[in-house]
Amino acid sequence: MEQTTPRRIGEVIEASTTEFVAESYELHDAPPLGALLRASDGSTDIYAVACHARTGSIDPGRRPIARGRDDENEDEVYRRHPELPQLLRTEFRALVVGFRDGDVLRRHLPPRPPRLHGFIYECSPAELVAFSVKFDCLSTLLSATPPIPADELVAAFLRLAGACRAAGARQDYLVAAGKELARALGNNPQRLTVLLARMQG
Amino acid sequence: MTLDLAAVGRQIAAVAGAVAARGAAEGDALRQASQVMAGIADHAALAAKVEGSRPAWRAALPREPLLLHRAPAALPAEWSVLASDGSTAEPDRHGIALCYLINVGLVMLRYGSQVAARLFSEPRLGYSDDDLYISAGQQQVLVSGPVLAILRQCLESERLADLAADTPEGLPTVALQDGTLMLGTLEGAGLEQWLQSTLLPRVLAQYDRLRAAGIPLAAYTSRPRHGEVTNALRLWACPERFPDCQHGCRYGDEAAPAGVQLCRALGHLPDRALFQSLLAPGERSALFRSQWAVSLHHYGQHRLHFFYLNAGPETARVEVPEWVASDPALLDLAQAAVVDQCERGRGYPTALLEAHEQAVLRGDDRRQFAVLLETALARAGLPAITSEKERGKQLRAL
Repeated sequence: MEQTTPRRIGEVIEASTTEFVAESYELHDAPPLGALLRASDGSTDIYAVACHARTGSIDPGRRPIARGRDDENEDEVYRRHPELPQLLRTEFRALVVGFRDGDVLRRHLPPRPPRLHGFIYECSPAELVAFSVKFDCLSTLLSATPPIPADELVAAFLRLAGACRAAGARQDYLVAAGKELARALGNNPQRLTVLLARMQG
Repeated sequence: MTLDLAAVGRQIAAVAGAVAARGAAEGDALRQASQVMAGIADHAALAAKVEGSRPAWRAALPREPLLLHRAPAALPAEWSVLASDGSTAEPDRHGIALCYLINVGLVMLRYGSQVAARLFSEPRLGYSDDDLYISAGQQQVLVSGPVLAILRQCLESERLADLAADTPEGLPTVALQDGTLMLGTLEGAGLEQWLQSTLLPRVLAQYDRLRAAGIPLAAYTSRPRHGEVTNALRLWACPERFPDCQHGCRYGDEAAPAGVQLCRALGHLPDRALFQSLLAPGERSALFRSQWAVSLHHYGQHRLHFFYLNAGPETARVEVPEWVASDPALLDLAQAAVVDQCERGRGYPTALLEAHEQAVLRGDDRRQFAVLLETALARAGLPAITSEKERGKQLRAL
């Protein structure tokens, strides 16, 4: 069932003006690549796009090892080692793309970064539709240097933004987005072609 | 750069030679000891000899046939394991404030249909005069070194019993501690008195709580160096009916009887070597009662017993109180749980490993602790003054 209300998924553990790192409340429960997230600086909602996730040991000195050779399925590993979820954690990184200024959505960097230990919500489809109506944040994403290729991130964001629109409006939206990208990447047709193909899913 | 590596290197070359020579001697001693052990048909006869003798070292009293090897029982479908371990930061008389830290790591792991885990630590700071000094006779002794280690053992037991109190009633559960149930020894009449009259009752009260909860307690030693079973065999080999070696061996070096020579040959053989080939994976050895005087005279229903266990990659020693040793159901549960934990932990019990991880104070933790202390003093308007020695060590001026 498609989620309709914002879901609280984690907490900010590193914050800067341009990006933040958050820890997921549940192991392996990172937001999808390109998902629109909402954080806060205490008074202002801040929007960001999930650009990377990793799961690993809480303690940098301890490395996970293979444990499931004799198990029938992966869940059995966690049943046999109930301590593992407390020794591992999932973190995700997000690029800040905008904020709410009163009733107005701004699609540029906010005055302040989110607060440490601030809650992170995965935006509802309605919030994503509202935020992605304008394409101003695409230039932020295209010029950013996330841990993955920026084009992968832009394509993922637009796929999700398209998917949360009604079937009739989806194609129009992606075409409009494509035109916006063409304006931004007109001098690099090869890059544009690859990005447009990735946008289609 | 104060370590002269070249000088150490010359000594290290000799270490390898000594290890090889010790290995050969141990192999020889093991063959002889195994023969002695196999020749003792009645373990009660050995027990009687141990009880009647006055050895210069601790010899164990066998409670079961010496060659016994028992496979682990099946574990219940639903069960849990508790563990505690501790770590300390010594009071530093050159530091900015006299205090010590005991960090107890605690673990609860539940298996079966409702798997669960709790991993946490409880730090305890000792800073008041009552914390820092104990009255030993006429003296006030600063809590540090062996005294702090014993306090840590006490806190580990207290927290373990607290954890046991939170365990759902009826859920088969085993409580594990790292190392030994023997409290360290303290020298000096006043300290011994404090240990026996103040601290030991506190620790034994925790064992009482575990017993009342029906939760067997077991202490696990990896690669044990104990030689109490070997020592019992040495007594058996001695031609004396009841050897009294506390005033020196009455046999001289020249032309000692074969039994005395055997006794001397077994002096460095660890018990674990005796059981290494006897026990299949998961099996435990016979039970032995420790003849440690404090246990015999003061532990009451908790008198120390132990067995050896094939834990997979190594032979480990498991100590249990008497009420576990004499209750087959509790003993079986303890053995099965330790074997299971060693399998999950690839040779060392998972719960103990995680308790250690919770407890351990690494260099970084110690630095953070020092910073917190400094900040607290600064907030209180107190100067953070270290000794001149400490200042000199930090400055390292040229």
